Amino acid sequence: MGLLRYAVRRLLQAIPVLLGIVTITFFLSNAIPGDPVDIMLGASPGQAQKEAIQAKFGLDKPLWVRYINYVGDVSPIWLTMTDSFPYVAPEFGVDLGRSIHFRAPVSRKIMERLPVTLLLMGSAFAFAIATAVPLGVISAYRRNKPTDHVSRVVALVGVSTPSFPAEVDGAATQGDVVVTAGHHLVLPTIALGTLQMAAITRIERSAMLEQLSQDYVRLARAYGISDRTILRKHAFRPAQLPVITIIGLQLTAAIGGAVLTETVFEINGMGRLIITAIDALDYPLIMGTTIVFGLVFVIGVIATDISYAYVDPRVSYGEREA
Amino acid sequence: MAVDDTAGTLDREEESTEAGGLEAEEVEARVGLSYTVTQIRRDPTALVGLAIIIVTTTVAIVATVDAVFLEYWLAETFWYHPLRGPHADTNLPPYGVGNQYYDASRTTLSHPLGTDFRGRDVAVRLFYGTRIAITVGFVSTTLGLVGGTLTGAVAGYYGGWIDDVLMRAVEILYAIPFLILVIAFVVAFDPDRKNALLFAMIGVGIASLPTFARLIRSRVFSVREEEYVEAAKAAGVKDRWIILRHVIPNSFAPVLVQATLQIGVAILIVAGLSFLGYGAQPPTASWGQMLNNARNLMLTNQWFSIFPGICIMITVIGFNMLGDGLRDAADPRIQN
Amino acid sequence: MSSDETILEVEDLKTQFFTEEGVVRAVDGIDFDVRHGEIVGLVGESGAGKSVAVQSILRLIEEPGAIVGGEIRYKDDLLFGLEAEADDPEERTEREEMLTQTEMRKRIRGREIAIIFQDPMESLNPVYTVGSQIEEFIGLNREVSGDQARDIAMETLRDVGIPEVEARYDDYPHQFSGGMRQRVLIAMALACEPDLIVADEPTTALDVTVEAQILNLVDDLQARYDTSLVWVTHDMGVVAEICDRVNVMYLGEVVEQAPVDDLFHDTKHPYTSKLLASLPRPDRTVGELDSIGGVMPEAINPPSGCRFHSRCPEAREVCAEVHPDERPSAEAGGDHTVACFRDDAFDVGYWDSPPIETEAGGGFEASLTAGEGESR
Repeated sequence: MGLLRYAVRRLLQAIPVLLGIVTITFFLSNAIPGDPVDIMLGASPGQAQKEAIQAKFGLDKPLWVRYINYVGDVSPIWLTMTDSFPYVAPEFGVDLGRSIHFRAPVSRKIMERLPVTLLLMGSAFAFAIATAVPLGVISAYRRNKPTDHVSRVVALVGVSTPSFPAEVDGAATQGDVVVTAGHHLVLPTIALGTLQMAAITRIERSAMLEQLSQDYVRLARAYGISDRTILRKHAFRPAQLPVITIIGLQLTAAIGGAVLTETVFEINGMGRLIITAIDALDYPLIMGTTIVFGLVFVIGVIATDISYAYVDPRVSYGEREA
Repeated sequence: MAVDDTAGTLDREEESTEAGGLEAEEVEARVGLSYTVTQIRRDPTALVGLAIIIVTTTVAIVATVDAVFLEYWLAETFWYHPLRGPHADTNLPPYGVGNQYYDASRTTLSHPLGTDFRGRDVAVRLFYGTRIAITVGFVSTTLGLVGGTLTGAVAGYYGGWIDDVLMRAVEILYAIPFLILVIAFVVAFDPDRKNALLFAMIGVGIASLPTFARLIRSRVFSVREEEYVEAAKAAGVKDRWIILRHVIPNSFAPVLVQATLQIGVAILIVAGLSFLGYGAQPPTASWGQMLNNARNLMLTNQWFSIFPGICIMITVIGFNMLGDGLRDAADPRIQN
Repeated sequence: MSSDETILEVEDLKTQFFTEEGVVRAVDGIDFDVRHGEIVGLVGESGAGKSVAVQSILRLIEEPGAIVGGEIRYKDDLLFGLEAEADDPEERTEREEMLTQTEMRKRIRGREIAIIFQDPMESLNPVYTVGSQIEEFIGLNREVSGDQARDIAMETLRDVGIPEVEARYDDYPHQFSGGMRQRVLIAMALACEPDLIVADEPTTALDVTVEAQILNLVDDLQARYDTSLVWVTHDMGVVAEICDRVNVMYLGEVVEQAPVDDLFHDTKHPYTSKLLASLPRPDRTVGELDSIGGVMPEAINPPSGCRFHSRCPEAREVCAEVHPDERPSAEAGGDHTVACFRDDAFDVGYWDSPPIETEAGGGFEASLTAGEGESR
């Protein structure tokens, strides 16, 4: 009950954020010098032809009309009461326009690439969490012992290492013998996951240290609860709160990292798509990919907020804001 | 005996000793900057980090003075020119250990790390690359810090709708992936990429603004409830003055920690951007750009990416070690 | 109601903390015991070592602290005890019959000795329901099934005066007030049916009316659950309210030990007198309320001789030179012990020794004159 109400409130709060993302993306894209129509038509286009295309894409309208129109287009169809402008390439009730570079609907390109990137990011986070959480817990439990020092150094090196040269080495070996699908995923996952792993390990360690000195953990010990149970239950669960927050915030870093990783490993995901789009000045594609990335981030943050509220009863009962 | 008759405690006594004696100062100092700084003097990790920062910053200053004021006079006199090589336009195979064209007889002590595809000395270029990394780190972090502090202080202090609007704006900024934001920034305002590095710095600075804004805002929320701010308000002091005089100085320790860590992050991101071609442009000697060069040569010279990679790693580790040490020192919850 | 059977015996207990500044002698050789069915007070200012002393009993001291000497006996078990090694008398090792950490955990903690901490706001885990936390401790420390544990938990919560237990059982700690949480913690301790409960300043964080309720509750329940208590406090008022016998601690040492009536009416140690004088009393005006001059010295570098001499209004030269051990008072009788040369049990020439200037003098005078100023 409390949790559900919290989730709904959090989803509603996301709407202005998404609108803001669309706005910033739209105006930033339109601030890019260069005319996409020129690029599309190549050298010396006829004036009539150019005007026809501008009219077709609505580029002859003033900026603010195009903005309102774009907002209308990207909004799900059931929210748009009237649409003064015909859809160019609607899909799933949303129209992200047509890519100039690929000569295909933006939404189709995104549907093609998004699963690849989501798989990469998903496996990177899975790798990061699966290694960082136990490492952080052990590090806190064995504070200032050799285990702790080793894992702290691993974490420090992890956050400080530029992942791209490591990827270069990895990519070089890819040309070799057996290039399986697993192989394709393993190296990029490690390359992308290391940074998140290091960040999560550090938070996990300090959160566990904080929990281990809490009165309720000392009380549990005083009542004969074993260290093992304390680490797995009494200290562990409350310690995950800052960890959940950091995982949500690491999403932006991971999206940026995905751009690098995909470029280096030549993976055809969203990251490479956006680089192609920016290089080709493909407005609709730039706007489309950025908005989808923004959407992924917002969904990720809401998901972490809700799991935070699930772990911490104080949030869902409205006593403390996330 | 009823409790009410004898309900007195020693609390009064304790309060008076705490307020008067050393203890009160210590409690205050614990959250303060000076305490944090004295604390790291005992932390070997933080000291090593500080040493790395001092060395790299010194190198960066020497390189900057030479590049800006002396037009590489120092480099040419005592070493090699970092930007011009003997083979200006010929794509000569890079030279050094591990290279398929490597010839031991040509090895001289003067090129300990070899030369690149234009015959430029790698060691000199690494030395001058420090300048880019350090500049990028400090400039972009200062930008984010100043912008974030202002936003967070205003949002936290006034609260209400001002807070709502500002924090939503910050959230939007946070939701757009920073690497894309920066690339779009570079492409949008600098199509021929003459000032790509400058834009990359500004972009990374803006991208780091939300973190500082949130940090300061949460500090303001706790500090403004404290009595001395209430007292200042009651005495009719202006809001702006209260923020400048009380809130911001009191938030300095956590901000310093975040800034130190952010410098490392900024160096990494801009190196990544240069690597992708959206940061420092040739012939500038920058580590990310050198990595980009190395990428084209990776099949023949895998080692070629190692040196700039190590330089980035050591510099960033320096900031992270210091930041980590500062954080442990500033965080009373995980004290012994 | 108290029988003479001694259940806890602490002898010459020493607990130290090894910090960068040096060794902090938090507890420096204290003796006390607890008999069946009584409430024993441990009283002193903050920093006197009371909390460390009681946590040492359960061996909950963590690094950089350690128990370095003395003996703790609980019934037939040796909770802590060292012996000199055969080949090296300097080296002391744990005695063989001393319980291991695992035995402590499985047999003593919660089961035989339960503890209540000072701050009820911090003592309950915020992410688990109140009921489940009590249930877990019961399940671990008593041979009962899950359902039984739930019934016991409910019943104990009712006993400590939680209203509408059925409705509140699955609530989270943040939905309870401070006083209610302390009741929950008391219920936790009682529900495990230990023979001894150690309460570490359990009412200090509460306001006075709630404190009074809790004290009455404990007085009630102690007899019903047939348990002994060690009650740590800095409040002489609380001592008067519930304790049977009292140990007064100063800077890691017990300076006076007596049944509660003797302590209040036949006070032997100047420190105890000072503690009593700092209580507000209806028969004296507020202006005369006395505080103890000076600050308690640090346990890292205790004063020579009697540790209290630097703040003692009665201090003489001998007090700064010779350290008084605790002895049965010559004037008051066998169960009243004191560590002060003013008692006839000592023969060190106190009365012939010249008085010395101490912090207490100044503080005392100052507070008196200030008081006079106010009353006029």
